Amino acid sequence: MLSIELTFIVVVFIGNIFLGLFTYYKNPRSTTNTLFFLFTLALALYIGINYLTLQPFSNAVLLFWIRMTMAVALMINFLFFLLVHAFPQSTLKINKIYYWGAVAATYLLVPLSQTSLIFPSLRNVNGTPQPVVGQGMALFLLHTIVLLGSGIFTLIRKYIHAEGIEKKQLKLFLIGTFFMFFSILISNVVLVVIFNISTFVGLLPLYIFIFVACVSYAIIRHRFLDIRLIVARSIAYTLLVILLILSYSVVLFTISTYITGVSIPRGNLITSTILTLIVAFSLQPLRRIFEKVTSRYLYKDMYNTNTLLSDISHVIASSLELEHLSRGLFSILSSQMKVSHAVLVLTKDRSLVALQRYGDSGNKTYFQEDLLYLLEKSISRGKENVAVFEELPEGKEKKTMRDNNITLVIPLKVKHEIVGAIFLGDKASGDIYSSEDINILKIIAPEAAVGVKNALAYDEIKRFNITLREEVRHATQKLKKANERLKELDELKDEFVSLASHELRTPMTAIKSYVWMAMSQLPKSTDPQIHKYLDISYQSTERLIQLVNEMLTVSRIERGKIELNMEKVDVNNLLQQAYDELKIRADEQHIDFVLSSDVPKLSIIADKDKLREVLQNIIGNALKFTPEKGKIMMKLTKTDGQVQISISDTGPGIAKDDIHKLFGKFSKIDYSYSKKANIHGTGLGLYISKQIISLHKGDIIVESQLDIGTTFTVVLPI
Amino acid sequence: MIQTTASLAKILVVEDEQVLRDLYVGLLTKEGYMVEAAIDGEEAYMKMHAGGYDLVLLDIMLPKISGVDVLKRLKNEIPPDKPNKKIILLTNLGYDTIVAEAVALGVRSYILKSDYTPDRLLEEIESALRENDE
Repeated sequence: MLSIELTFIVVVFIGNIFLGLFTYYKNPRSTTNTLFFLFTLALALYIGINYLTLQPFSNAVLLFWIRMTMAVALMINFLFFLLVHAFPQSTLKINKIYYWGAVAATYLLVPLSQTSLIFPSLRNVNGTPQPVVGQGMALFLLHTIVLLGSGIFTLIRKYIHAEGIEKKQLKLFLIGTFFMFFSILISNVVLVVIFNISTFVGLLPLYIFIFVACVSYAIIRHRFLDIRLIVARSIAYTLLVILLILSYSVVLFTISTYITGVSIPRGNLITSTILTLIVAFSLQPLRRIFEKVTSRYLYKDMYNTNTLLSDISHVIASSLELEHLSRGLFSILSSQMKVSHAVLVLTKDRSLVALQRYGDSGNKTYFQEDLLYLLEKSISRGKENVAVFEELPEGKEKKTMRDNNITLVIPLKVKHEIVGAIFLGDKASGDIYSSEDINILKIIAPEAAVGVKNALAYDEIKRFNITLREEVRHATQKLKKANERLKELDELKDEFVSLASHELRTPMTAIKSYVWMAMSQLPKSTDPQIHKYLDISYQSTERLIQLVNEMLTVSRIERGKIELNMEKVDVNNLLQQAYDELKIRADEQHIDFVLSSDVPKLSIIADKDKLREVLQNIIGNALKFTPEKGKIMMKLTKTDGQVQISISDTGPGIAKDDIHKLFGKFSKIDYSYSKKANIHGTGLGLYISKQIISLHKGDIIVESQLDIGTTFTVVLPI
Repeated sequence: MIQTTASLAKILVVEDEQVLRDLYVGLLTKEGYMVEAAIDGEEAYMKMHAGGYDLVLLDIMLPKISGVDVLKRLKNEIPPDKPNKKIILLTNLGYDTIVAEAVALGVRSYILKSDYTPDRLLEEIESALRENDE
């Protein structure tokens, strides 16, 4: 029983000293840290001396130790009072009267506590020595009540006014100290002084343990005094040391006892154990294993490093857009590393160009200057440029991080160019960033930087694309407008052609009609020259009218306004009609015009009138160019799916190079040809014919040999 | 010239161009028809509304009211007091759509002025009038 009690006392004693030492070494210049160190030291001392008062010493010795506890208690009161006023600043700010009052009271009471003023003597109650309470106890109680009471009161006031993490820290600190002091006051003062019961004095370590536990919890969970990382690592190393010593000793003991049978001297054992420790500590992999093992217990929510790295790589590789990239990165960091919030900042020439925030960072407004300052600071550290809050010395940088609730600053660099930074808040799980986390983030940083740069480049291309698209759209719109204008103009042209032809036809009708009447009423006896003049006038008017008609047709064909009146057409019949109409003219010109057909009866779907126009045009051309005594043959043949109507003449023929010009507008290929013609054409007939046959999905093929003749073949689908 | 009852027929020539109006009126009067003339759409409408013509030669491009509109008004608004037996479009406008529209409004046929010599025109008129007698 005693040994368990003693172990407990030792643990609390050491725990206290360690807490104080960590805090002190973390920042010796900070008053808070120094006071906390002294406070814990005093508590440890109190535990130690309290233990001694319970030992079976002689009354004189006991009385000394009991009086000593009073001195230590006074110091605790005093230190607590100061600590509470200093916390969490690095300098003590306190009303001078209060300060000097407390100092004076403590300095006065500490020597007095060693006199017979508080505890004059001991007396035996049921065989156990109990201290006799003196008159000075009132002063002690006053000191305690004033300093502890005002301390607790200050703490409560600070707690009420505190915000965020500081509030949580203060809460735990408050709970710890309150329970500790309350319990001590009851069991070690009230019970002892008023009721003369010292039975619970031995429980003191328990009360102080409550305090240590609360503070430790605040350190681990809420970064109390910013020593979490050191505490965590220290525990890890302590475990490592203990485990190594144990296993080494066991192995050595086993070997020496059971295998060699030679017992190794104790001194040797210790020396070799220390040597092993040195080896073990310098062995990085072993250390990492221990770190990992301790991390697993100290920090929950461990993640698989490989998974995280591959996920990050995947996001960086697959994200083209910045938004997607940063969201993806944060999503992984928050789900696996439990990062509570993050800010991605993009910089150009050391000034901020974009800021994206993720996660729950409250409605915190980030000041550009703060973020840029932190980034600059991190970069200035060179290679080890990731800033970790816990590892930073107290100063402006740390304060800025604390103010902005930023735990890590990871600059993003591509080669020597700084593209931005990732600012991470603390972990949602409450854990701290382990060195493994930081290593991983260091690995991710350059990759993410390249990703960000790519995303920015893509963004630029996309913006350029948008601009381009906008310009194309603009140009298209302009073209559309121009096109519409052209369409309008085209329609106007069409209207003009139609109106012009109408206007032209009116006087031409008058000329034609009156010339005709003159011709028909002219007596036969009139000078044949007059007859000739009138005839030429009439023919010219006719030609003019035909020209107008054909121009109108061309205009309509080109506007796609011509419509085919499709019906069943008997091809033989059609050819016969065309033949009949032009046979008379052929006879007049003394040309042998022959029609032959290989097809007994055949109907096609076509526009009868327009096909007849085409045939008339081609035969008309043949008649124009075929000399007297010449021959024109019209022949109908049929092959698979096609009918061919060929019209051959014995005219002058057309040179090969000229054939393709035949179907152009106004293309009377060569003056020499037209000179050969008896009657002048308009130059539009073949063009129109070709268009009409094309509308029927057919074709006109021309074969010709100079001085032998020409064959026009109209090919139509059946 | 074949003298038929048709020669005594009453014909209205609607033509805004004086040269042509004179031509047609002269030509038809010489043939012995009773010929009246209208120089624009409005007059044509008035005369056609009074009605009683054996044949109307109607131009399309007319001042005030177009030939097609004249036909539309006669068909859709108040019908003529006395019917006009035949209407032939006599025009130099070569629109397929207009012809189709006019035929739908009850026109017998369509003559492109510039394509017809006086004798062919008279033949066409006679054949139209013959249809009236049948």
